[in-house]
Amino acid sequence: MSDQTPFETEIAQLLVTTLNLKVEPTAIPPLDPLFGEGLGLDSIDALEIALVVHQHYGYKLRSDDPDNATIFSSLRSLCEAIQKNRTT
Amino acid sequence: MALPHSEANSHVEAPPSQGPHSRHEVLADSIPMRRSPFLGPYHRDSTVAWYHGRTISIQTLLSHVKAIRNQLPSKRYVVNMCQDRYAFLVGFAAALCHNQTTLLPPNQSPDILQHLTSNYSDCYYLTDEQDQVAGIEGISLDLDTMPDQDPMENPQFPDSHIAAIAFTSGTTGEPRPNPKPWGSMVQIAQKTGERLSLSINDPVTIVATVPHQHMYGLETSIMLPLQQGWSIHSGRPFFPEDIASALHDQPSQRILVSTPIHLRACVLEQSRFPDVVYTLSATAPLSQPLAKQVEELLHTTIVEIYGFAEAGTIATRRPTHEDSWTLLPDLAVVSRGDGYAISTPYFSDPVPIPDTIQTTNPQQFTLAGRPSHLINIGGHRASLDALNVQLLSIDGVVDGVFVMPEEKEESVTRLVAFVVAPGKTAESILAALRTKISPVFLPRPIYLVETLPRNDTGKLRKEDVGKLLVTNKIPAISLNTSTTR
Repeated sequence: MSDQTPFETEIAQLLVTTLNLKVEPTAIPPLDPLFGEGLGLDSIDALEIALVVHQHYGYKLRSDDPDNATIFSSLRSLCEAIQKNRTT
Repeated sequence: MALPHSEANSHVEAPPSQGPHSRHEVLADSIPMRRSPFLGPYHRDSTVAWYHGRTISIQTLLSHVKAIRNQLPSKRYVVNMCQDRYAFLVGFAAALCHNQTTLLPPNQSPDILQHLTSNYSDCYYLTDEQDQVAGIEGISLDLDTMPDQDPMENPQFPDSHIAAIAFTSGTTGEPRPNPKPWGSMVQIAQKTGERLSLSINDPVTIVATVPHQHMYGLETSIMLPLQQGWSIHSGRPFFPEDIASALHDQPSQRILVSTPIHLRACVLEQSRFPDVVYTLSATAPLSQPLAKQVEELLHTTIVEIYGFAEAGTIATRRPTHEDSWTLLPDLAVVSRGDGYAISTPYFSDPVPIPDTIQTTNPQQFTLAGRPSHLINIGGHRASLDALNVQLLSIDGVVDGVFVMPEEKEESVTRLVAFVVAPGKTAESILAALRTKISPVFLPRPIYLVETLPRNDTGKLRKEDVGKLLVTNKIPAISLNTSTTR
């Protein structure tokens, strides 16, 4: 069972497509870490995520954003940051 | 495809050793009295760094180095883990003042750090972020609370002193040491600087997206500015907006040190950049179309750097103008066995070049690919053999092999792994691998299989692994066909 919201499923689908992950988008637990132990993403992925988020939602990620650790901590927090900052 | 200036390379097997001179004995040993200064042509009040938005003068740097020098333990080696570039520089210089050697691990995974601290037991670590390394003494470096004191003189260090040891992942999976004599680092910085047409009196600041703990970053974001009298931006901007912001913050001429991955992101995101006089790129080849886009976006001149961990930077080129690489002055390519090696003024023996090259004249060459068992992901180089050794060392893994699918031009292609491990899950194997290898090499994904199609002699033939890939809908392959158990 997925606890994802519709927007989280939309972003999960984007991550899976962009990063060529071999998981079902709906199988990504929204509160699990994206990096390291969770989905196992790394800094190269972070750059790719930043690009697709900008392309789709007009939000430019910055690493000096004090909320960054939070933004990348899970699918849910990434989605909340996108919804808060999106321009498209 | 061949890969400019990778951070790790593992084509020659050699065990790590306590002594730093295990390979490439340095010529400078024969002239022990020769010394080179820490700092190049700075004026007394020149800015040497931009640290958290404030300028650091030469006098302040020399004061900081003196203060930290007095805090360091009497040991032979130091693992400098400082994340801030200026903090790293202060620690690096302070260690040199004690004739200590800075160890540069290929990554900071627990297994790698444990290996270093057991093989180089007379060592401590420096941190600016409360890192902990089990079993060895640590020193916290806090420059914000540093008391003012009189600066020291510009120190000079023996050219023969091993200033740093860059580690690469050997084919056995053990890190392999690449000693860096101070004289070689100074000469490479001076020769690289000669490739950039800048007046020695013009203020220049280097902004780098690459880590200073790897050779490309150490050479271009620490040694190059120090020897040319330029200043160093202490951060490590990552996203395109950060890079643009860091460049905008510099009032002087700017040089950007980066990689094709970051430069591609900058082009795609179309951030607004100030003029950048030069952009240095290494770790992977920069395509000519991307190079042209970067030159237009940043109003810059791209200089691509080719090097590898064993020898450091050996050549440069203008990717928008030429395919050929031009050797740094006083270097020469020599034929060696079935490949080529680079002869330098600072290593007594020629150093093998890991990529396949074709010489076009005595000073120039083109890259023509790399041996199939070597891979490069985001500038991290490794051999599939070494990764296979690590995979097979995991409890419960009966057989396994890493495979590189067909690589795409601009984006990063990841490894996959086929593993025979009855009763184990892919997640548990991944967790074990995470402690053993750099994260960029983690397989995406791991395919659990009942058996690998090895032939009678234990080899995996390329066509048989190709069938595995087809079954799993993975495009083409690059496989070391000699893989044996």
